[in-house]
Amino acid sequence: MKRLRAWILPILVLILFALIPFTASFYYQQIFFYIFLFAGVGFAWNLVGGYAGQLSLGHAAFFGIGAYAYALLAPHIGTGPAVLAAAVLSTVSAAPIGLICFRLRGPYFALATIAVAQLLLVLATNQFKGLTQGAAGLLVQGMVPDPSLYYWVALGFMVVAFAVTALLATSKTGYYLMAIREDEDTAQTVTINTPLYKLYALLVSALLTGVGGSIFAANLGTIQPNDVFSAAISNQVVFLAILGGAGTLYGPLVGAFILEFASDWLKNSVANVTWLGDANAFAFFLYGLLIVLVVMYMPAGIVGTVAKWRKGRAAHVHAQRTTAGV
Amino acid sequence: MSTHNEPLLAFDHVKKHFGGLFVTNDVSFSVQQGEVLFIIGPNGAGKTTIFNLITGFVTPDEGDIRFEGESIKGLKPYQIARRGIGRTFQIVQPLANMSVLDNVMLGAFAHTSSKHEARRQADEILDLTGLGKWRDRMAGSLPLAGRKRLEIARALATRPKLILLDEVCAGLTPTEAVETIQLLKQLRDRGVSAIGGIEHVMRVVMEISDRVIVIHHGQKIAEGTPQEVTSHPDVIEAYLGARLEV
Repeated sequence: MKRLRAWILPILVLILFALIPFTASFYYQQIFFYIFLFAGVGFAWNLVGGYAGQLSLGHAAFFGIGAYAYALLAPHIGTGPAVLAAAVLSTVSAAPIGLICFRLRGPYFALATIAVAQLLLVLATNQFKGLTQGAAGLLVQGMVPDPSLYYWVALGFMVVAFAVTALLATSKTGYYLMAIREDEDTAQTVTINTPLYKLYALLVSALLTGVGGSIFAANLGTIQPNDVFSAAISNQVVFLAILGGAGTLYGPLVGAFILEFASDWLKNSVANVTWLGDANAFAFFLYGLLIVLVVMYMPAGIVGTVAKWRKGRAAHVHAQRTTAGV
Repeated sequence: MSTHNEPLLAFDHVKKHFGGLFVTNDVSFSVQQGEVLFIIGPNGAGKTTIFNLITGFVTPDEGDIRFEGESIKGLKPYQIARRGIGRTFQIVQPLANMSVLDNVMLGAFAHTSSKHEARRQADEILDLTGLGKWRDRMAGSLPLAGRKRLEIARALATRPKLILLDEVCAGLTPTEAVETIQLLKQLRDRGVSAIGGIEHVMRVVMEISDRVIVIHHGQKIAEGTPQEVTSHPDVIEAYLGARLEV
């Protein structure tokens, strides 16, 4: 009964998502495309950053590798195999990145991940200009015949990303990752091979992120290194996961939803206020303010805070029942 | 190398120094199957370093550490845990944002991948350790005595052959300390050997110790039954200072 009830909300939400293309304009379909895409990448990030507590600030590395792998290979091997290649290449690249960065703990790990993404951005812009066309941009072959169909691609990607992370997070692996987040030394004393599990989480996360990058590139039609390897991508993924609730199942989707609509609203409403000067810069300022407020006053994120509140109430009811002798 | 009269754990002429300071200076001792050994020593004597050496958090400079006849020197902490050595920490480290049940399930996952089975085993251990009433609470919300007990429960769930309890009684009231000692007795009855670390010589500890070693300035200054050790002149000197000869 309880298991059945847990499925009702996700299914209702999914039905709602399936109805949107029939009622919303292409503009809003694109907004939902980005919600689903970044929610999917957010789910992927959540394995490493949320459950395992390893604050990766460089997921753009895998996003960009996936994007360029797809863009460069699709004309030669076709759409499907190119997505597969994007998945494989981003996963393979995660192995050395993980082995190097996981030697560091806490903030040093976070800094190392920034450095990796930044390094790839510079390489893609300059050293590998012959391959990537650098800042001039690279034309990307589409995945689907009609642009409106990307909505479904992103929705499918998000559902798969959710299923994979949910499956892992609620199993023994999820328990092990949470133990690593709480205290790595203690985790080792209960026989957990912590380096291996961290790497495992990163590989799965990189695979999904790489696929997300390929979908992003295909939808955009043309990419340059700054679109996919930039800190803006890394940060957005981190912010939406933290806003929704890092280490919670649904957090990234809730966060992606709010961030995407908030930034859309900001762009449209602030753009007309002339005395603010650069509207984009002001939108960024408000975006930053939101992050600061969430981290300070709601570190568990929206889903995490609601869950805590509900748990507190349940414990209260339980206590009342016990004292009443029920 | 395994012979039938090899002790469960052999700590063999181990030396460890940090900079110029020997924190473990040529210490040897052993633990037999089913034995409860207590390591006693004043604050800073080097007890925790001995625990860290056994569990692989610190590697010896010299000497060897053998468990069931095989050297465990240089193994990673999780590898040593898999051999069957569990531990608790001096400064309790419950996984605060996980429930009491989740903490113990983590230990149980050492032997099963099934959540259902891990939960069953964890519930058994929660009953044994008297933590059942706190099952669904966040570990970080327990009082100190509860958190200490939870660490023991989590270690037990991995089914250790030897369990290391650093500062078992520190910060506990006398009643809580007695309860912890009761728990140790139950463990011994189940065939789990234990090494406890403790700062002060306490009567409750004397009751269950098969043997006691005393560490002072990184060296073993006495070893024997609780009675022998407490009357040893070097031990009295370490705790009370030298007797003034007039």
